[in-house]
Amino acid sequence: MTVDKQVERHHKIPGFWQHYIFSTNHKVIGIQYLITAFASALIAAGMAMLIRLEIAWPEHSWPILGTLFPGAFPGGVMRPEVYAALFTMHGTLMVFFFLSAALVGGFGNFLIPLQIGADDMAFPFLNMLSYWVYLTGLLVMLSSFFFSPGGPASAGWTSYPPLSALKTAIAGSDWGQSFWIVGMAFFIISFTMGGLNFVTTVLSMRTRGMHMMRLPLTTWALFTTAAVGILAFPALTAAVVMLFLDRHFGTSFFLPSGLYVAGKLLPNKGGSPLLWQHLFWFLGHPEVYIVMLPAMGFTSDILSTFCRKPIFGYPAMVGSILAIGSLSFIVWGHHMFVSGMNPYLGLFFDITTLIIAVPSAIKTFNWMATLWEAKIQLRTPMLFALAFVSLFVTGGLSGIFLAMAPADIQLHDTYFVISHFHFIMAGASLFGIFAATNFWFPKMFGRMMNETLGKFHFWITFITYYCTFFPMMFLGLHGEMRRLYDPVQYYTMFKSLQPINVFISINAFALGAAQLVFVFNFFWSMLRGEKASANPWNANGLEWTLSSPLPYENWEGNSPEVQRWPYDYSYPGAAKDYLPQVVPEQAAAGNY
Amino acid sequence: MPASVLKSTKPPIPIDGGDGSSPRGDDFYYKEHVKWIGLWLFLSAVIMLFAAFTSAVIIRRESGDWKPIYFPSFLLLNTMILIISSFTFEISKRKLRSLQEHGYHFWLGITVVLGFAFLGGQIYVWKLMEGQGYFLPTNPHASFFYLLTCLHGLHLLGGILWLVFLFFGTWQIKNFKSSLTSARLASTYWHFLTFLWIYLYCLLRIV
Ligand code: HEM
Ligand SMILES: [Cu+2]
Repeated sequence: MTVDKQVERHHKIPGFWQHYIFSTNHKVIGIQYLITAFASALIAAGMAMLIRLEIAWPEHSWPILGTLFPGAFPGGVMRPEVYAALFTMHGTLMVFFFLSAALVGGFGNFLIPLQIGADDMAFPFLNMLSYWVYLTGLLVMLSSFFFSPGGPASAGWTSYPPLSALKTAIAGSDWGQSFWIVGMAFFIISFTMGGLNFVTTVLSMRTRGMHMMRLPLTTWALFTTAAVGILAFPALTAAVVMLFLDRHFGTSFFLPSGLYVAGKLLPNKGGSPLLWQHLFWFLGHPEVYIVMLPAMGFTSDILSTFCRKPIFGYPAMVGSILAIGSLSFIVWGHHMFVSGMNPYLGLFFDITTLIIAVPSAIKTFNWMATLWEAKIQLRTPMLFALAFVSLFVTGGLSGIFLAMAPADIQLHDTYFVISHFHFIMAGASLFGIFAATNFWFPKMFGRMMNETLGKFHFWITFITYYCTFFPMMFLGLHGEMRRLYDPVQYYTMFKSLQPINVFISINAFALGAAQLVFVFNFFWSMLRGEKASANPWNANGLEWTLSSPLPYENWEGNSPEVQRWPYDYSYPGAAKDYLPQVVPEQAAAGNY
Repeated sequence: MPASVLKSTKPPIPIDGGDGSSPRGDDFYYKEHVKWIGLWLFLSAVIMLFAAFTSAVIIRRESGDWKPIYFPSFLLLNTMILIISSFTFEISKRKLRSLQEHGYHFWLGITVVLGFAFLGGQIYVWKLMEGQGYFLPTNPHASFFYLLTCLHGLHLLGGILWLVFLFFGTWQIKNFKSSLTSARLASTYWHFLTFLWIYLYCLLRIV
């Protein structure tokens, strides 16, 4: 690169609109994604608070809610349809528009080019489009609260037909479900565009010396996640297209014969509601790993950095990421054990599900081994990463119960399942996002997040998280079903369990409130936080060789040359306890 | 034009360059390489989409109300049109390789016309089917027929747009190599859609 060309590049920083709004720069897009995803998380968390309010004090009258939302809370009591709409939109927003978007759209965009030493993504324009399509999908979803007669979709985040396919089945199945379908279609398109970009970028834009086996595990995980997304989401696309036709054009893909609605026999014949379940879970299960893998990647990198030790078993880590990614395509039937499937088919899904626990366990043992005899630095990102491991183990062990059909037939659709996936999917990924935000914040905004607030946020979140979701296992073991509007009045056998629900709800409110600390910390640190040096954690990845905040163009044409993997912490003979990926062997003993 | 240029534009460097990196920078081969990866990833998503529909067909036809429908023989003719369009595209690429600009544009134009003819033909087939009393909700076989032909048609419409862009984008062949690459990318998509149609035809015919 000649000098003139470098000067020319410096002049390429665009004006406000192109820089902050319609940007094709991966860093700006990543931050746009992240902040939008956090906003939808806050909205979805608000919904969760209302859900917990209803479960703990069913059909209680809250005058203030009656004044605020007279339509949804007539006389201060939540209408049952509203309850159904809330848990549906809570799940949809959290799984797709928060977790997937923040992990893949947010951190994926921000980190991949930095960690592989590229200047940007392979298709920057597609990348910008991906964000705007995602935002459109989110707005469509949210607008169903205001613009759809009958309110938003109410058939659960899994949208099982016939409930979701019959416009008259429940208020939310009217227009709300159509909004849901359109919103999801936008999301799928956006995710596919992102996925194409990520896979192409990692395959073709690595800098000199960056072998695949020198990639940080974060990039490995994001890469695999993107590939899984490309292959899994089309199944949901097919499903929502057919659902749309069933709803609006009278077809019977999912609608069986002999359905009566309001005393009238429907003309539909022969459709298969189970077909939807197969298609949905063919995406749905890989989707849970789509949000799990990136968080596993962050955890690996963060643990290694704050242990000042190389990650244990790097090849096994890569292998298990790939194994999890591919096995996730053949376990979907474990969500359908009670659907009357052939027991031998059930056995197949039993076994594949248990097999997927093996790579998960390999990862866990590797994290343990990384921690073994390490000089652990308990900074905020590290605390969140450690909590990730804890939540992952708790959730994984509960998964093994569910994986066995004889146990699952009892536990299916109970609070045990809710507990399981709030530990493993929701919780672990959420803690992964917190860890990553605290860790890479200096790169994003050039300032550190506040440690004291961060630790405070961590401890409250960690404790209340366990107190909220662990007791749900007992509810589930006692048979209490999920999605109950009023567990007391209609199911007398659950009356004695109600104190547990009250305990859970109180913790849930504390958990919700604690997140405001995070929001405050995020924006306060962005503006007022302590200025960050280029490499505040003494980490090895390529992103830490650039200034904080990052320059507009990553390497301005001078892409780095990679000499080693990113885990050379406490390298024997080196002067410092870390060796950035760009340090050549000869220089190791000298400067570093 | 040196003969070596005409042979192939295959990237000389595999996915993992010798030193672990990938070919980079403003290098032509590198850009081509990126486009091929992107195209095949996109195609794999499309394959998964139609695989999902295939599984839906298989499951759905197990239920009692599956009554096979019969296609107008015009559909076979239309299938031939699409297959021929793949051949005309190949001819056009040959012409491009031998630097016959006129021939290239001529045959590319024919391909576009055949693409439109196929789409028009599909609409005509729908009309014929409706004439026989088969509508979208009539029975599951008809539903799948309309659904799958429509989705294939939409993908093909995208393909036609691509060809139109290619046609005008390479109106004057300034850079031979990049024109050839653009043509090869577009033709891969086009042939893919031809194969997809043959597959869908068999799927809908056999079940
Ligand atoms: C050790 C590995 C795991 C096993 C053995 C396992 C097993 C299961 C089983 C059998 C079910 C179905 C329960 C039922 O509905 O009756 C289930 C539900 C679920 N699992 Fe897992 N799982 C594992 C890991 C994960 C991971 C890593 C995630 C996400 C990151 C996850 C997310 C979910 C979700 C979201 C559901 C419930 C979805 C719903 O019904 O709404 N699981 N799991
Ligand atoms: Cu699953």
